[in-house]
Amino acid sequence: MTKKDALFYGILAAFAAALTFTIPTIFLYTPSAQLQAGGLAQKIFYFHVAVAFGVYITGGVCFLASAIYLVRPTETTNAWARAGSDCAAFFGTMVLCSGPLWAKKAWGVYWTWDPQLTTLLLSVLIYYAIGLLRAFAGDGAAERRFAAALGVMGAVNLPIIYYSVQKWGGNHPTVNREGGGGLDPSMKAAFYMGMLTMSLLLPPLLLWLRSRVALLQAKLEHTWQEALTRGIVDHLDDVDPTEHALPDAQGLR
Amino acid sequence: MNLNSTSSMQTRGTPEERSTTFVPVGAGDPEATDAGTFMVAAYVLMWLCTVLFILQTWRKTRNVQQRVDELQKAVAKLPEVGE
Repeated sequence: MTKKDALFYGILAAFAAALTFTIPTIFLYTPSAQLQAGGLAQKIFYFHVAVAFGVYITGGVCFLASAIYLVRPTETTNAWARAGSDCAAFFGTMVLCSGPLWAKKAWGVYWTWDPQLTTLLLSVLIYYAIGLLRAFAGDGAAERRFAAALGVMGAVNLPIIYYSVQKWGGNHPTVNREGGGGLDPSMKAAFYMGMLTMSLLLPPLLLWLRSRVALLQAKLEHTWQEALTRGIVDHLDDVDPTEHALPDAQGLR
Repeated sequence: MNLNSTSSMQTRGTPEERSTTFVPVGAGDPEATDAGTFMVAAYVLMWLCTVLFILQTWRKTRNVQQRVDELQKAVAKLPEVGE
């Protein structure tokens, strides 16, 4: 086992342990909030805020890796940029799944064009756009640079999401921010446990897994290039394509 | 007669207290919705997203790794360039 693998399994074990404490803390030991905040539905907050920070963290990774890729393109920076945008889209989807359900109980509607909700939706759409570009436009140098540029430009919206509540108001709660009254002490443990589990431990695990996929895809591409250089097309009859060995090779026949 | 009266639901109503029509209380009224259902739905959706994302990543890793291994085997059988 390499040091990287050991680190991954260490974080995975910490995540599992933290989750084991977080779930009962939220559901059994933390009281519900007032009805105006959603009552029992306010407990969505403990994961909702944490996964929203997951968008900032993974979006930040996408920004950094994309910026480095634009200056010094390598397979590793491309893989981390790709992993960052994939994970930011995933965390954004989690926020967009949980938020409307809480809003329905607290505000009476699933969605409102509140500044924070709208700016977050915009960011999630940007990360989906990067994913679609990488999936359908190929994996050439130009496509990678374009995706990296989108990753850099898309990050501009991340601080806007955070500060939109203070700048433009809206319905979104401001409990833990400037002007907010803060959390009741009985709710703090659940909040910090949620943040530890979903904001600090889950993002590195998912980023590591997705970057590994991206690196493997790059390896596949390089192996194909080598195979073409060495004339695999002339030797396709020696390879049995029915054994799902070379699905791409069938197109070359 | 109060059509929305809870007392008429709690006690057996007289013929005079029976509803003669139904009046909506407002679909968007937060008081009319069950908080527990929303909480459970939100957590189920979030965990479903997580499981699907991890499964999709795992499947993708397995498929690409398999293709890399098989392609490398095929490449190993090819003659070197210039041979």
